[in-house]
Amino acid sequence: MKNTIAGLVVTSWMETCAFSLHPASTPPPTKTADLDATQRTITVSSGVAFAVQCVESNGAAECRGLHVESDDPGIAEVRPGYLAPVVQAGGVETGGATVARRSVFVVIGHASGETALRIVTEDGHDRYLARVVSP
Amino acid sequence: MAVASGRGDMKRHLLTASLFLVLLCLSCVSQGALQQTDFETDCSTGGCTSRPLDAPLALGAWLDIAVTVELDNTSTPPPTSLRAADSAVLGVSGARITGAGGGLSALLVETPDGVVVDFFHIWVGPATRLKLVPTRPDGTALPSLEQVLVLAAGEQAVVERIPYANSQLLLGRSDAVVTVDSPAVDAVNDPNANRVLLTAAAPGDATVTVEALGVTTSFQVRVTP
Repeated sequence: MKNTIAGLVVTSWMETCAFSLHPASTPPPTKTADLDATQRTITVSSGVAFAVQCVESNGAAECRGLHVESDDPGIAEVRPGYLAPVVQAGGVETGGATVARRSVFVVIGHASGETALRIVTEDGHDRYLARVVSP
Repeated sequence: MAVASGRGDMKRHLLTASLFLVLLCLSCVSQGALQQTDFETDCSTGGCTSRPLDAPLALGAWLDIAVTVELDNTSTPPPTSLRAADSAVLGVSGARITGAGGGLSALLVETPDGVVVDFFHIWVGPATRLKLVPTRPDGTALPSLEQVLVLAAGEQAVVERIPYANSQLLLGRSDAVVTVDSPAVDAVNDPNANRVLLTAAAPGDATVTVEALGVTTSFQVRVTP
């Protein structure tokens, strides 16, 4: 029964996902900072910071109202990040240049282990596994 | 024809010099992972006014760094502070970072409400040797300290100490214990510049020993009348 309820909860989390996550930084030499969208896993080395950008699945726009929490900040801490908006040139039909805002959060590996990251936006929510490895 | 060629050479030289200056300026800073901040530090090895964070920080050493946040041109950047991802590796106090333990830590640039605007990864490692570089007070070079340093009585010299991990240059400043086995030489340590100031006090020979970052090295000085 417990498993069924847990399965429903997980399914509910996954079904309401309306965005995708993308790496926004690279790891230092010999260290890890990796995002596997298929496995919904973020892997970082301890001591490493990893910026992750959130984009709406249907329009490549920023995720609105992005909020990310770690179940165990002692393993993987999550902080909101800021990336300056990008001005994109547009044609006459689009009314000229547009400003593309970017939603980002930063995962910081603290101690080896695994924990869950709960990602919530105005358009959905999802759950990723954060794995902190050494090195 | 020769004049035209000369002008062409002149243009090429000016272009080369301009490119060199641009590259020299760019090489003084290191960019953060999000390319929104520049990190630089006072030059700890002489010869320039600032340098990028382009080498590991020596274990036990400190470094004062300057961070310039460049988000856009429509406002000033917000005030920021520094925080280490792993305080067992990297100590942070204001603008000063300290090599607290061997390893790697991200250095986070955060706004007062905890938003990360950029970060930079810094390695910390132990020094295995000190490279000693002697110069006159005016900066002109003196012979390597593998030979006996010869000074006239009353003359002064500056010995810069640069930490290395084997062949790898390390960044950071540190205190040092400097001892001299003879009254022929006075030696004063200047921790803010990683330098030892020598004064030839009286004719004679002396051995100067420098201990810093857990490494000890010594050199010979001969003072002539």
